Amino acid sequence: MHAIEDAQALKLLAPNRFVLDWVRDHYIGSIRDVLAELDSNNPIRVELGIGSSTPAVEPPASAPAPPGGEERRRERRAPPTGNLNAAFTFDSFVEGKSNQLARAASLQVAGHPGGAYNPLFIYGGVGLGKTHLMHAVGNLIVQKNPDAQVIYLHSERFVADMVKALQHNAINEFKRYYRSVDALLIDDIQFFAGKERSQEEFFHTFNALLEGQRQVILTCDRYPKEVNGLEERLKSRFGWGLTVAIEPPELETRVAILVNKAAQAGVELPNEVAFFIAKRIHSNIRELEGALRRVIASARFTNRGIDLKFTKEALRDLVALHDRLVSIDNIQKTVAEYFKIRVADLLSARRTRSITRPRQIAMALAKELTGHSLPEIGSAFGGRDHTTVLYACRKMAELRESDNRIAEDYSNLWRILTT
Amino acid sequence: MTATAQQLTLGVRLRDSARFDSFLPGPNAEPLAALRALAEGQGESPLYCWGAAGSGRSHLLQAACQHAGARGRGAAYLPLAEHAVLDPAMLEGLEALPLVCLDDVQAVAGEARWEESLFHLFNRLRERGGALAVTADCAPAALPLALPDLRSRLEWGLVYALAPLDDAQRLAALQLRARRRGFELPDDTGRYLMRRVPRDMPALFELLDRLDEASLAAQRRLTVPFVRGVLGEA
Repeated sequence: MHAIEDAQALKLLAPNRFVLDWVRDHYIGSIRDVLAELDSNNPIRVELGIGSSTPAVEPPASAPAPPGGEERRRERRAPPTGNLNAAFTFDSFVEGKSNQLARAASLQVAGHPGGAYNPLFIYGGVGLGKTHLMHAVGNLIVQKNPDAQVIYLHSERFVADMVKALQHNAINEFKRYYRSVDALLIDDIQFFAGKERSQEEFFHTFNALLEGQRQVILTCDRYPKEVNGLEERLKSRFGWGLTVAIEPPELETRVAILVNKAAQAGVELPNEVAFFIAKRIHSNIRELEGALRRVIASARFTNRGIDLKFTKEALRDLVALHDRLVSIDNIQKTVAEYFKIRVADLLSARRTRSITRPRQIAMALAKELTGHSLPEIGSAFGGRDHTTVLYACRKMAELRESDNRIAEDYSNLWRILTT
Repeated sequence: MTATAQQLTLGVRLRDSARFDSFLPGPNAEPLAALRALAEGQGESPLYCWGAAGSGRSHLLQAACQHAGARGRGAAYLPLAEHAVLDPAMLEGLEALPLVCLDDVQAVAGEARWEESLFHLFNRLRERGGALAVTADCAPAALPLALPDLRSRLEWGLVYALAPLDDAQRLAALQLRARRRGFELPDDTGRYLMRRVPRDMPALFELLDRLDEASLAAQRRLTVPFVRGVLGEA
């Protein structure tokens, strides 16, 4: 709580309604008692409110003027780069097989905003670079046309702004604001699920923007049709433009991301260190960055150079945890369950297709997700030779290219095991 | 609640003794320094410290709030273990503060409303430039979270495991606490205590407080015979 004092009154400001009520219910008596003790003849009044005495954190200079409420009387047009993160550009985006298509589509959109690919719908798991790409498009649009009004916001902010506008009778301002932009970038639209009024409002905003040939870019954690609690008409409209997926980055891309991030922090990362981290952390880029940050921070704190030995020490806990979460045992169990066979089948000498495929998938996953060597994996699969494991890995790489079904099974299992 | 100490405390008070200088760095000097930097407006956010009960999680977070508050930087301390009497609505508007500390985040793992509200708070704080410090009893990857978005954000920052203290460090931590309270704890008395009572630090600190009061009342120093007498009474 923030406190403002003057001669007659103590004004206490709570950050939100909940805290205000809490203080009123639990503490107001004690506060009054204390104040009465200070000067019983002339007790100080206590006033409770919501707000902040000093803006403790400056809002970013480029934040769009939120419509509604107090801000309503201010300049309605936001600065042209509303909330875009300047660090998220195409240059700083590390390209790999997993995100090639999404990147290419985003570049197209940045070159021809409001054109054929509208909306651009980018979907994929957490921490794979959706937000980065979205900002990259926005930044490039503004770079090409400094007058373009590009607004980025998280879906929660859209909902909160709308609620605020409704409370302040400013819904028309809200509509005008969001329908006047040149490009609207909304992140994580799965959080619209179940919020019907927001969906309704967004539906009309979306239509208005598309009709006016303004660009809309959306991200989501899954394919539009798979979002529960989203209106059908929205789902179908999301598919009107271009829908692209981002997959988890493969090892080489993870290494490139680490080297790139380290360079941005002014650190030269030895290759073997990058490979060590990238091999063990495969779920998403945020966790990869977190591990790198920790290594850099520890190196600075202890004043040591970053080599493999140091990295292993700094990430000891993290690595131990991952080894526990993704063990060969765990992979065998998960794969057996997925294909509805028994673990004993995977380890057996049986060579029917219904067993060999899952076995090969499990071996390839073990190679990709654990630090075990080929001979170790072979022996964990019923004492097989390391060449059998090598063959399984090659076969899988080949089948994932040629057989969609197997590619899907593999990436499903990969996701189950790593998240 | 004065303008200089702007901590927001609900349910629990910030313990006066929970300061950075009453925390024995021991094997945890690095997370301690990282948290101090964060409280001073530098350092990396989010910062996530995990460890067993008694590893000093609450001490560290409360110290961070106190440290920030003493520098005129508003800070909020939220003990999520008390979530039964709290509500996710209390997270609204916290992004106006330079530092938000969430203690025992594992307590709300699996609760959809809490998880989503924490996720949104994270995003708003990040947008505004505010810092977030989190503690839990396990690493982010091991939290039973339902929302992967929240997990990946917790994994994004600096993650430290708080290492337990060995016997010598526990003794040093007790003596540091005693000195902060203005009395000396002799080595042999400290070791006697550690043999006699449960080994977790909170229990030891509580006992130390009791002994301090007893020694004040009896006007006696904390010798082994005196302590034996006090413990015998209990």
